[in-house]
Amino acid sequence: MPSLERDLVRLLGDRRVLTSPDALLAWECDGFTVHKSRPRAVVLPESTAEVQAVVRLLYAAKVPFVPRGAGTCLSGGPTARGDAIVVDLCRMKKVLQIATADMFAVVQPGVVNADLTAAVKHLGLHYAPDPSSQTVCTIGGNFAENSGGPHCFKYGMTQDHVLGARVVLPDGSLAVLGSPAGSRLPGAPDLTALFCGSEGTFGIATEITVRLCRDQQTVRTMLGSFASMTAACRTVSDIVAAGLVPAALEILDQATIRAVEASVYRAGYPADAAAVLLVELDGPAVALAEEAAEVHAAFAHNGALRVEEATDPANRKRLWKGRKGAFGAMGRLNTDLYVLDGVVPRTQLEAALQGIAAIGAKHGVLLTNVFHAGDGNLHPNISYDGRDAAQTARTIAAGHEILQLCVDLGGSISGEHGIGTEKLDHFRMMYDDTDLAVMAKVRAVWNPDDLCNPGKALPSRSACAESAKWPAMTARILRDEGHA
Amino acid sequence: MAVSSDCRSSAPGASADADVYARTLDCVHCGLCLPACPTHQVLGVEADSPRGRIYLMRALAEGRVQDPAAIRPFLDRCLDCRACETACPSGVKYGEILESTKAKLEQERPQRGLRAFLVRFLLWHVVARQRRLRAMFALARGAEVLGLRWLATKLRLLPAHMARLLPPVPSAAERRPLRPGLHHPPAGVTPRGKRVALFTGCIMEPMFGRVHRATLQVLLANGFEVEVPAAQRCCGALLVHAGMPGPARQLAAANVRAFADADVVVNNSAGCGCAMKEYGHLLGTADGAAFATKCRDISEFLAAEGLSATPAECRTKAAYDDPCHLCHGQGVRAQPRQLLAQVPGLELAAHDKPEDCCGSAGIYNLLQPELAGEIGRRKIESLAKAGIDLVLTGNPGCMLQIDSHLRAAGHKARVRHPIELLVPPS
Amino acid sequence: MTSPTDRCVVVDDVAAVATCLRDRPGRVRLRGGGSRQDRLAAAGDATVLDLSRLASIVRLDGPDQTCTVECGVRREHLDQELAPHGLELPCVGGGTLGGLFASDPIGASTFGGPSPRSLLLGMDAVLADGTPFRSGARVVKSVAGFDVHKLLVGSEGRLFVATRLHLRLKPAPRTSQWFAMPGLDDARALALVQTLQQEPVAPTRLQVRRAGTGDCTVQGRVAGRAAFVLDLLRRHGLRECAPCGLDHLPAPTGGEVVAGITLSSALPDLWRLLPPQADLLWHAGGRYEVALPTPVATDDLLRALAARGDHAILVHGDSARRGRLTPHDPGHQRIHTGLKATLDPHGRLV
Repeated sequence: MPSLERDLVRLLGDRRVLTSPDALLAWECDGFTVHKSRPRAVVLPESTAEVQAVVRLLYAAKVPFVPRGAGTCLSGGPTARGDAIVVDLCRMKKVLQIATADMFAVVQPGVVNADLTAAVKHLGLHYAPDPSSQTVCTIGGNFAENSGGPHCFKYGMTQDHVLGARVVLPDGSLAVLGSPAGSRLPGAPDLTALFCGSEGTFGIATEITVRLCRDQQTVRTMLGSFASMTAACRTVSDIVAAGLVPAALEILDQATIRAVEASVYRAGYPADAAAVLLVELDGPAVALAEEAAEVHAAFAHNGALRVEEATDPANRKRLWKGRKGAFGAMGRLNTDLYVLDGVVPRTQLEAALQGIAAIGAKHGVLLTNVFHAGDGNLHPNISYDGRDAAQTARTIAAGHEILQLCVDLGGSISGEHGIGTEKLDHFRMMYDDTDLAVMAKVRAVWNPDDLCNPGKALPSRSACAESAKWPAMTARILRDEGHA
Repeated sequence: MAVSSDCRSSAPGASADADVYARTLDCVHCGLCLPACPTHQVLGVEADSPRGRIYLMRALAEGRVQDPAAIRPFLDRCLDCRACETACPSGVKYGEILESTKAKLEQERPQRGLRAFLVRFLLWHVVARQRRLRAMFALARGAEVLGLRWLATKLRLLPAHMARLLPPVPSAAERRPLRPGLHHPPAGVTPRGKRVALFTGCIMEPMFGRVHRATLQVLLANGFEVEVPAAQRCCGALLVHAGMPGPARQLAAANVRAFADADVVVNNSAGCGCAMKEYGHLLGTADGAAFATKCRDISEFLAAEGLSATPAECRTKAAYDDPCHLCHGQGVRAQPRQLLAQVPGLELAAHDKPEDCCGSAGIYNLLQPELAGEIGRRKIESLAKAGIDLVLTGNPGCMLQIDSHLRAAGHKARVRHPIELLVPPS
Repeated sequence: MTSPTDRCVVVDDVAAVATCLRDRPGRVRLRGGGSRQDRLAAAGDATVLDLSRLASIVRLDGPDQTCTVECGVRREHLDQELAPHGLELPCVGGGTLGGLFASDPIGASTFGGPSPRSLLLGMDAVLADGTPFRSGARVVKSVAGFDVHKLLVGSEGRLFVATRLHLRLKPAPRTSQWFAMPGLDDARALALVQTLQQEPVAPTRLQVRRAGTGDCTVQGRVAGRAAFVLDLLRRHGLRECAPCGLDHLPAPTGGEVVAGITLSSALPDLWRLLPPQADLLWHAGGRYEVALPTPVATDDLLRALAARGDHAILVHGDSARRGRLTPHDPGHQRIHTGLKATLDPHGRLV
């Protein structure tokens, strides 16, 4: 065993240092399975002090390392490139403090998003950001990726709910960002906001202070089906134009509805509908009746075929069932599913969907859409057989064009999944070399030796180097041709 | 799927291998199974999660694993509780992948050492043979009466954790087997004109003979004729989990024959029920698949048929804890609760995570005492918070595990099989 | 236009910012509307770069609820333009928008609504050496690239010059009503604040003014549907009043103002540290300002806060003393200094 590994074992014991190359295969990738890389080792620290001690050792040895939570990232963020060591934070799952009066909690990074809400539920509080993977994904991962979710339209992303953090910097020293009482010293820049979304390249947050929200008095969920996607999108526009701020505004297109209805997630969505729109209102009972009437008016005005409403948890769950199961249902359509993530201004939703359909038709790929309509955050899904090289290539090409379309319409190449390794090639659709250089400089302040999660979030300066190192998707093609 | 007429064949064909590999591809690596997995909950290690294990098994099938012994511990630590299957949005057949892979590993590189030998020997030569199992229990009871267990623990011949886990061996009367053959409803009970066959399994009889007697009594009191086939055998589940599908197939085939005439095969052990419902996969025969469709858990059967005999009053606060192989393995969740709700006086309390594994998992608590102990401790913690006097669960392994942990924690609550509460007043 | 030095450059377009920074040597102090200059440390001989004429609203997309403004657009100008669209920029602060974000008057945990941090979606900016760059996006959700634009918030214009801001807007509430509860003692003020904070939809503004005499006023604004506003006011017995929100405390004659952060539950601790005649303005969410009668009282308070590990800084008073603060977390300080050194290596932006 190399001396570094021996030192790590001395620090954490042999059960929390994994070095068997075969076992390490399990850490080869996250939810984005195209890019794979086996780490040199995995360590499982349990405290800030242990993370510091581990990072100091790695810093001294100049060995790169990658923080990892539950590995549900969809862009390759926690994949260990180039023989890096994974600092797995799954054992750091303590809720350190719950402050009821001041409505914040301090948690270790491995605390699962939904577990935090479960821990404060009896106080009538919850943690608002709810990515679809919330039963699995960790607060540390959410903080690193600035995760979103269906309730972002009203409640914002992770960044809007993080008050501060203790961060182990890539040399093993500690920095305290923000505080439970607001952000920071007046006159100092907002480092908590900057750290949030840095995709694990600035350091390892070991204690995170998040805002808790008071549970709303009433929740009403409405599901309307429409004969056309246009009508569904216009309903969203009308609802927003009326000044309403629903907690969620989600649309599923016809292909998704059919896939859902043909799967175990059958939710009773009308199969002939071209689109369904899920609207969730929450707030004080005295105001909600009025708001619900306005949503119903918008549904009626746009010729909704059918509208269902639920206020009790069981029925609300039923209306959400198809939406929550959409990706699972899509996953069953073929061997592989490419979940895209792009954003357009909400006013460009219709144009974007038409463009996406055209791109799908051009490349002959099976394309469906589930999206956070309120935020203009699209998730076009392409079901394909990764073992078929031609199909895979068409999928990649369609994905690339869809992201370009989003940018052309004034949007972004990622609303919530991050750049990771997946979108390094797309980065320049949004930013030029100067923008990139500024971001690289900012990263170098935190992570001067580029030891912490190297090769993520920002493409390297020479544009073609990335595709050479990570032939997008080809890893999967080669693997499946070789072994299937 | 390889269809083999020789049920003693332990080697599935190459196409079965490919089938297992294809099933690993169903996993899209989303990770939604992680919080459902008891070992990942305790260890926080990716390779000790369903997603990680599937990934390792897939890598093994792809020939990317250099030393299969290196991944074996992660597979061995799996409880096979199937909670991941419930959580999986992609419908991955985790249990089948695991069992096939373990069988393949065991066949290619059988585990050596005294412990592995003992496990194989005990499972196949004792547990799977009713007469020997009965004899062993008789011996154990004798030894206990003579104080040998105390002595063995003192002399450290019996590891302390095992001594703690092993409950006192029941008396001969408790261990008395059911009379084989046909049983009729007693006089005064309106017959339903329906006959069911009762599966009795291996460990339930010597450990919890009263559960079998209660099952028989409830079925008869509710107007059913009950056949107890003499030729039936152990279900083979423990062998399948230990990577010994060959011997398991022999047992399965014997059971298919023994119950050939039955329309409905009722069992009161979730683990057995789950294994028997998977005979189609295990045997790969039409007979096996047909047998599987006849199997019912006792709660599933009674809830569907409806109780005609009101159970005896039981003024107790109880919690129902779902056995993994009933809720995740067979999707039976509402039925036991529905039946227990009909017990006069019984108050059913809710406790946290009733569907989480208790750590019993067949002989897991003997093979992985430390992990099983931690998982058991968490179960007791959740039960203790509910403030109950009685724990109800429908699987012998779970009954043993929960009982031993309750005793270890000094908790006063006792453990019963739900069927025991459905017995009408005498 | 008045200027503290005779060296003042007024730019008329965004491109001129880059030209000015490239062409003129020496240190530069940014100036928007000028309303906060007296709260910054003295700039010495720096050239003042006056951005007040970069005042056009570049893009206002009502249905998308976003806009792009030049940094010199004044708050009231934007509010006027937003009103017909039924929209607002839901954060406190006046002056120019560049100045508003750079000074971040209330902080990231602004209570009862989004903070400036979450309203700033992206920006066009210029580095101290005149290099233009972009960060963020125009859309409400984007996680592409590092959020360098968030560094503007609270930077006091010392890291880069943000010339254009992409902002998120929100629907203006249907109704809103200010309330004020004067004459409360400490305990009752605290109890009222904490009760209101626990409302599922809390007041959009909530603050405590405490006079040196210990006399407290809890005041704020409730916004939303009329039925809700009335209900909330009624349930808590809040007395309606004319708009009375206050962002900052004026410096008393001969005295100074210290800004800091503290949670509501720690307010009694803060109260105990305050000398007589110290006025306090505390915003729900944490940021507070204390007006102190003398420099000696200021130093005493800073020392006492430092002993508790609390953050505070002298923001208003004698220009030579401005910027004094309690010791900072060394790690945070290191990153802050590092960012300054890398974005503005010659320390030109002061």
